[in-house]
Amino acid sequence: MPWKCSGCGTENPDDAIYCTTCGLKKPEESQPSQQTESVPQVQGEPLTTQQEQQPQTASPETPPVEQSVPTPQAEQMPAQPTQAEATPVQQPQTTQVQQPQPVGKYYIQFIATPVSSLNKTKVPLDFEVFETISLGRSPENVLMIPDNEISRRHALLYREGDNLYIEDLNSTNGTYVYDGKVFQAVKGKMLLPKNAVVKLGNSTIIKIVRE
Amino acid sequence: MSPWPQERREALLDVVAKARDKFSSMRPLLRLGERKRVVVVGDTHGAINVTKYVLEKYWEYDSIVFLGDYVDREPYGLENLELILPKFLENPEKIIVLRGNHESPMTNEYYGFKSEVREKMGAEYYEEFASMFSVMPYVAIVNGYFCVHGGIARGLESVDQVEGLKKPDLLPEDQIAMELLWNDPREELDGFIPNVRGEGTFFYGKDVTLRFLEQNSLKGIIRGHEVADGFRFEMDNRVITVFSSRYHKMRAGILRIEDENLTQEYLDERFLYEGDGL
Repeated sequence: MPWKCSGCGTENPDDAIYCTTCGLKKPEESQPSQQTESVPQVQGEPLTTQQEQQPQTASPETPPVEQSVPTPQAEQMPAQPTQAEATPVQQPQTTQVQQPQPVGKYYIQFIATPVSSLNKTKVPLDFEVFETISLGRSPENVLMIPDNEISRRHALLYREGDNLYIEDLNSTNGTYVYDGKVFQAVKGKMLLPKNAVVKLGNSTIIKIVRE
Repeated sequence: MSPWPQERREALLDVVAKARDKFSSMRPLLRLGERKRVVVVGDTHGAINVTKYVLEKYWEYDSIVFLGDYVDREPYGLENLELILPKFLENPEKIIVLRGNHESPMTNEYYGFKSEVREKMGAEYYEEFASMFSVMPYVAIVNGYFCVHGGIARGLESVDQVEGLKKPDLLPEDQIAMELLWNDPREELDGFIPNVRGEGTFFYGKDVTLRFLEQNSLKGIIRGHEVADGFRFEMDNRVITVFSSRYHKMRAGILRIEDENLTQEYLDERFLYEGDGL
């Protein structure tokens, strides 16, 4: 039967294994049990990996809560907005057992994307596992971003010494780094400033933070 | 969409003309002072069930503040205005009707309202609506909350600057007016950073927002403009997004301010389509 993409909402035909719009894998095919990758952001599940903004959903045992209380329903402040996609998934911890974390852990935080529920989500960048982290629309990337204006393989992030670089892979709509005034197009590779604000294509903005 | 009978068309045009005159006489910034019970409604985009519910249930409140975006996206913009405008004219002190970025030919051309007017009333009448939109107020300050469709703008240091914005302004052309209607908050950012919505629109970061609130002795900003499951709170609850429409298939929310308390009220699917005999 036709299925609805959990990333971008597109209705897809039955025989499509990947979303025809954003490339996200069909839900049945992307159950965590089938995943062999060791970092949470791999394979089309970036939307649900890190819910650090949502302390109430942090317990892995908690099922996703759809509030369907009889209406109209009132809630007192303060409260965090609930995300429909806030399904907690197990977060494989691969690197911390054997070796101490290197100083400074990088995250990508979504600032603006066509999938509004993705905004504010933080995804760790584990350079110990992937020396080069690829960003793009198709599921082969380390970080898949559901936005049809992002190229299938859009950009790379990697470290050289203590520096973090971004490289545009000749993407159709470009990669841009905010310089304090405007978004500067990335030609080839570019050194990222601290807390870089990066635009991928026309509609996705991410922040790359080091903590 | 079928054409409206002449009587209905004329009735709405009459209301629109009167509302235009009333808006025209109002300042771009409405200082409402302290009011005991207020309800704030975000983008409705033709969600007439939401509008009807709020106007009936909260008519006894001191104020109902609509944050703009009455038309476009759903084909009931005219019906929405048919509900809101007569109530506004009946009590313009109570019913606060602010402008959104969809009260503009810039958006109506692409998001459906212009076609809706053409099909239900006739293309020649769109101008009447655009002309009314061009004189609507931008901001209301109530109980220390800066109520606006999008948010703060570059170069806006003092709320007094909003008082000075010119009306009519069709698109609007004024950069501050434009940004009040189009900008979005992002607590992860600092300063003003170009928005993905296009040329002339910005994200406003935490530092500039808190500074603006401090300088103007404001408690917070209540705004619409961005899709949310009813609400979104950020910057230590100083910026509240209220989204009251239905087109995004999430819940509609309205925010009640009662004395010092803020209450989120969700209007869900069942209520809107089966409930309450509205």
